[in-house]
Amino acid sequence: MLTLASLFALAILFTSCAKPPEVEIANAKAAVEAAKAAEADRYSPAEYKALNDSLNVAMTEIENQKSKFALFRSYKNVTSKLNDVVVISETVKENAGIRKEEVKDEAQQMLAEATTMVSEVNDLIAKAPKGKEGKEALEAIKNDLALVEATLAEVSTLIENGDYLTALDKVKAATEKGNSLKSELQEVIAKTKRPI
Amino acid sequence: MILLAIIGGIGFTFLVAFSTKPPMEAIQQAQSGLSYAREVEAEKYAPRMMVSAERSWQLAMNEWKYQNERLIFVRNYEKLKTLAGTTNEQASLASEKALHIKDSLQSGLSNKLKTVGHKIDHFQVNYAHLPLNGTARQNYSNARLRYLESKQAYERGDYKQVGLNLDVASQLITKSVSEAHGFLSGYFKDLPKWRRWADETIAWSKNKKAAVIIVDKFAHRCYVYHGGKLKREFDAELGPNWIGTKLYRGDKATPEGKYHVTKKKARRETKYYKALLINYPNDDDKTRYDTNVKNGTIAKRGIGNLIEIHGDGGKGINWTDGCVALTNDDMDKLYEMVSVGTPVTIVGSLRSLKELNGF
Repeated sequence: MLTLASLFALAILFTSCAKPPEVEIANAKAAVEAAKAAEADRYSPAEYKALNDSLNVAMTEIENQKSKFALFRSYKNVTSKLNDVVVISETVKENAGIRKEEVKDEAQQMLAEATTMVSEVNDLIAKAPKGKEGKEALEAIKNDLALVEATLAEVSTLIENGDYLTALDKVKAATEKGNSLKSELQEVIAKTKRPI
Repeated sequence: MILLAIIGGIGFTFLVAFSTKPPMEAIQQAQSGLSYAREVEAEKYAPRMMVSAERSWQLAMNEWKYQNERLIFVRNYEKLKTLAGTTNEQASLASEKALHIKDSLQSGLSNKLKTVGHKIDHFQVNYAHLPLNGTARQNYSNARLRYLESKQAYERGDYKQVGLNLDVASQLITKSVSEAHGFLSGYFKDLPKWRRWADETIAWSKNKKAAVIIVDKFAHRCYVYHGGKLKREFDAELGPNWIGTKLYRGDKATPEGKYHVTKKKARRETKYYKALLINYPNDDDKTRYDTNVKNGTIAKRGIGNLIEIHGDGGKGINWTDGCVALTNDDMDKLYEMVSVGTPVTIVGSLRSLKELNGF
């Protein structure tokens, strides 16, 4: 009789033991995926890595709890960790978004400035003397300017495709080259206008 | 009965207490190892090793899950421990390799950036201002853009992106330098002849105790010798296509050869302040022109004439139709030093290409 009672008690204990927080696990995994989809790995890599590490530690802890005898399992801490992952992922996503917007704004602003600079260089070309004094130099500058314009077109496409970091590299390079052309052109104009 | 229950309970507790525990230390080490490998971008720089480490970790986790599904008394974590250890070892190796590759890549790219930068600077200083044929300047400009992009990517640590652009920049600038150098090397084959002409002209000046003019086109300098000694030198501007001798009318090239002053033009006789007309084309020029027309190298469009050393220079660029232009102040000085008949020798260069640009 007593044995039967003991077995019954054990059965109660077994069936009422703690269960892994499946919903929280799914939420945390989805949160990390969402952070990656927001390109946190590219725009906020250190934070994204820390987030991923937290999820991995939590998943290990779940297996660790599963290794224990059912009566001694507790998923309280790990549930809290998984919930933290979800909360932190929002911050990581937000920070990545902010950084991405910053890079995008910078790239767009530099593209606008570079486009203005190209117009200025074209204006200077138009104002430059058409005589034999500057013809050769102007031809070379025009060819180089065409390269800068082609690069700016690539920058536009990169921005449209959301690759802001590469766009920023290209627009910075194009700006530097464009500025050197502007100086070169101003020099040519100054030389040809020099009083004799 | 009671005794049996007590014995059963004690036995159960004993078995639970002494059941095998998972190798947490090994698991945590593996996890830290993987985390560090990701931190040092092993996925990017040691991908194969990292895939192996990740696979071992996955196997370890699967094994752990499998053991956890078994009855607590029969679990065996030895395989899990081995797999965790393997994961850690593979992750460590991946980290080590990634760090090594990253370091060598960084240092290699840094050196390559310097090399390409030097080549671009070299081209800028030695060739960019020359009237080069072909695509040399276009390739140079393209190379410079790619190089600047590479520098940006390098500064933000995206070494793979640096490599892609830098390789293209390196190829383009190498091609440009090679094209420009090949073009100039061909031109400088006449160096011994130019030097001989200059020596003969200076010797004539010494023998006759008279003035001679030597124009070094590459140096953009005009030298005046008297009695074999250098008396004056001036900056000179030329035609835009000044590399190579004049071949025909309108080619905007400055001739190369031994000439003499045929007429001194005072201020009212020229629109270029003052001028010294020379006897271009001389016999050599005429022979060359006839040969070129005959073999079809150039169309019969006239050899050109009215080549002068004149004023209105000082613009800082090569702008004449093939004449040599000096500033008006320098023209005044030169004009006083020479007379009709003064030899004028125009050469491509007096210095070798190696002396000029180190190649």
